[in-house]
Amino acid sequence: MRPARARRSRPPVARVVLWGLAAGVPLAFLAIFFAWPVLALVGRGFVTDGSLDLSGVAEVFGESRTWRLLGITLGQAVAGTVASLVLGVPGAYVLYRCQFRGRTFLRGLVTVPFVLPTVVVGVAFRALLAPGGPLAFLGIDQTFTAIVLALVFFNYAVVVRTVGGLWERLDPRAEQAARALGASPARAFRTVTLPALTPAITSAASLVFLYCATAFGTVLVLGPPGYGTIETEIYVQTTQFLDLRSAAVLSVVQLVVVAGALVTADRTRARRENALGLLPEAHGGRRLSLRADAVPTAVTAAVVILLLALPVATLVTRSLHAADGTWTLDNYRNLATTGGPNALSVTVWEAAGNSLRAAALAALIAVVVGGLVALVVSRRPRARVGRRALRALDSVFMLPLGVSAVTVGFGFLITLDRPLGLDVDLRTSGLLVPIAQAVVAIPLVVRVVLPVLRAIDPRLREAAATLGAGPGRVLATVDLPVVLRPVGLAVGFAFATSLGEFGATSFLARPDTATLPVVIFRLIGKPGAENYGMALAASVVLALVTATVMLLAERLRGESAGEL
Amino acid sequence: MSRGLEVRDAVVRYGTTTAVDGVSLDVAEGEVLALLGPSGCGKSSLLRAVAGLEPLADGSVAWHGRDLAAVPVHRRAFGLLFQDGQLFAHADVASNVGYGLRVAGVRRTDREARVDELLGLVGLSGYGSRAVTALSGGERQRVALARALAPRPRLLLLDEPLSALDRALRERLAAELREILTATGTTGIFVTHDHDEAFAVADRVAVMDAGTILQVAPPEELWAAPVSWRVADFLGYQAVADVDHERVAVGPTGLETTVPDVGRWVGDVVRSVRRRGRTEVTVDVDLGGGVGRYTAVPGAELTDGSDTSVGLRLRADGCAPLPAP
Repeated sequence: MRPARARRSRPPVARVVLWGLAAGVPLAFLAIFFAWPVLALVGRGFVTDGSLDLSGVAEVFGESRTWRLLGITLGQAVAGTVASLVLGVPGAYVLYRCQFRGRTFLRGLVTVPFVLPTVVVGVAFRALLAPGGPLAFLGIDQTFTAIVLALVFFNYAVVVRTVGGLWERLDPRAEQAARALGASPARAFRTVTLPALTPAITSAASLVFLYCATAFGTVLVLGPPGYGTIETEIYVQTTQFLDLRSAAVLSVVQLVVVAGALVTADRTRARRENALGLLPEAHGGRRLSLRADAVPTAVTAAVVILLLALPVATLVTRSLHAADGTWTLDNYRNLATTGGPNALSVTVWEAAGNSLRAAALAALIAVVVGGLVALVVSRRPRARVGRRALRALDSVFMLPLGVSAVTVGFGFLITLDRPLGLDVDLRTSGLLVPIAQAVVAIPLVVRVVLPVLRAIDPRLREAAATLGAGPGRVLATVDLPVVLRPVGLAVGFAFATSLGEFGATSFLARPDTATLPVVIFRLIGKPGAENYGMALAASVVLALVTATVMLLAERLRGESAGEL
Repeated sequence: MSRGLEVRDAVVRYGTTTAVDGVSLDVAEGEVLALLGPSGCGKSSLLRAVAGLEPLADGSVAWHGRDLAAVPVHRRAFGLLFQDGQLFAHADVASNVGYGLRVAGVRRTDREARVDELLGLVGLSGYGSRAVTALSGGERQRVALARALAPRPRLLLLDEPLSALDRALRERLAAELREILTATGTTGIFVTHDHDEAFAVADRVAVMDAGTILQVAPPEELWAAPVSWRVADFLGYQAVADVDHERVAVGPTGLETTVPDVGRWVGDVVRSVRRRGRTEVTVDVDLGGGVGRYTAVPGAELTDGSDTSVGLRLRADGCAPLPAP
């Protein structure tokens, strides 16, 4: 029954080569499509006539405008983070620790904003707050407050999911023990639960800080004239003033700010992965009590209705109205046109086709490259050198999260006319947009797939090996079945992110290959009620597609879901 | 050429710590050897080295005289049973049991027959289509055993397979395991920290401590003649007594109470309890190495249990002589 064992084992050389390829392909991809463009752009800012020139740094920091931008960026990020935490932690409690009907649906619903395209959110908040909108009386249209609200709209889900994910697996007996020792519910929460949640809260806070500090589309659409953050300033300096030196200095400043947030996130993540007192599986929680849980329930209901649902509902109703206030489908009919005079080069539907094609390709690239990274990083080599190398690889692939998408986009333009000296101009091939979108989506894919692969007990693979399965067979029969669903989820994530990507795409898409977010931004920048109505309708279409993709992907999320 | 497993001067290191420090061991074909020792003594590391899951820093592992250094885990045909089963959660019971057969390319009909046979052997006939997540701890270990046995491994390595189960189940399964291993003629190494389990399952027991083997012998022999107090301690002996300048290991039933003037020693009764239908007397007494608290069997002379001071003597069948240290 047993096959002959005479066959010699495969020489380790073959395995080294295979793993080398698995690590080398993503590294090469990252080097060509991320490191090189970004370094080239930064280099233009610091190198004049072949020698290092730091006068740009002094010049940029000598301007009061730079310090004002830095202040606005940090202020916006801190305000967005604090507000997201204050509102998100009660949400995590209600959605992950309490039982009530419709909980699963509500959990899915609060996730949708996270993947909504930034441009769409900008348009929705304008529709809500601008004169004629339901909340116009607040008088906060195009203010700092409006931007912060929109940032909370995005990042609420990040806090709820990160904190809730830990909270539902927290052993409730620790808090029960505190109660039995005489602590009031509030005191038990403060002294037992909150400290246990701290790693998740810090981890969420750094992510939210990161997203708030680098927000681009939202700020561009919602900010008052003259308002700017470092990210938008990079865009302005490169596209309007063609001042690459200042843009490069600002890119580095942003990288420093963001690296600080990422290091904090990484530290707390490591602590979270070996956190104590966790249950192997989520427990259902207890029934929601409207009296005992009045405060968190009220906060969560207010957030869901006022902050999450209202802007989206306004966007939808406004898209169904003509400029004179009558109900109409004209805005949607106009999607088959190129808008008012000189508005667009393609119809909105053609742009939607461009978006779908680019996003599909981007998702494919992101899942292949990100999947390989997750696979390699999830191994546990015996040698310490190997483990260090893998940790470095993991961090390196998080970098695109921290570098301005605008920087990536512009870097592409100046380097990829003749990549590696080859005589192909990638700029006209139509491949640049999906590649740039993939660079942005890869970290997300890694974050979704890697924790699942890491959670596989190595002894499961050992058990398979002792039953006669070779390394390839172990991968196919142990790792693959576990990781199929998360990979599906990652595809959805990558696809949705790519659909809404604006920062890099706005640089790279040519007029005839414009994607939906680019078209929407162009439409709201043009005068005319017809253009504005089309922007609203196009936003609804884009939001609908993204949300559908995301909700479908969410169904693939297993119990061992990754982060985000 | 010797038949079976031959471990020679095996060394396993993790970084700077040495888990297995020059162990030599033989397991004859058809024999079951227990590796007995406290946690952290290196017994699991030795087992993993035999399986090929840990590299040897020094020494060798050979089967039928052939060195296995170049043979990777999946070509050794050594089965391994983990403490917590490590079943494939995404597959049902039958797919788990049939995994090794599928990997070996066994035909479907033969495979199904073998899976049924194995499920019958471990007492789980008809469980084939169940999800492994729906099984109890004991059932999971039975499935894991069936899975490990299905490809007819040349050697079965069992890494504390019963430790995660409750006591009654553990005792029952230990007996069943012995029957199954004997019935299938399986050669095995059984790692455990429980001496009762080791004695119930194995033909020979190797006592291991701090990375080295202290003694290898059949259970009876080991019990009758431990080579050192360290070994006797693992086997459950409770004390060393000094009898006419000879060292004697006193077993759990090696001490008997009597009237004070008859006993070799006089001790104070701490309490007297009934356990498993037998009376156990706890006494404080100096057996030669200072006053300690020990358990004694009540002797025929004492019946009412109201005494506070008793004589104590040794029972020959509960004690073993120890060589001079």
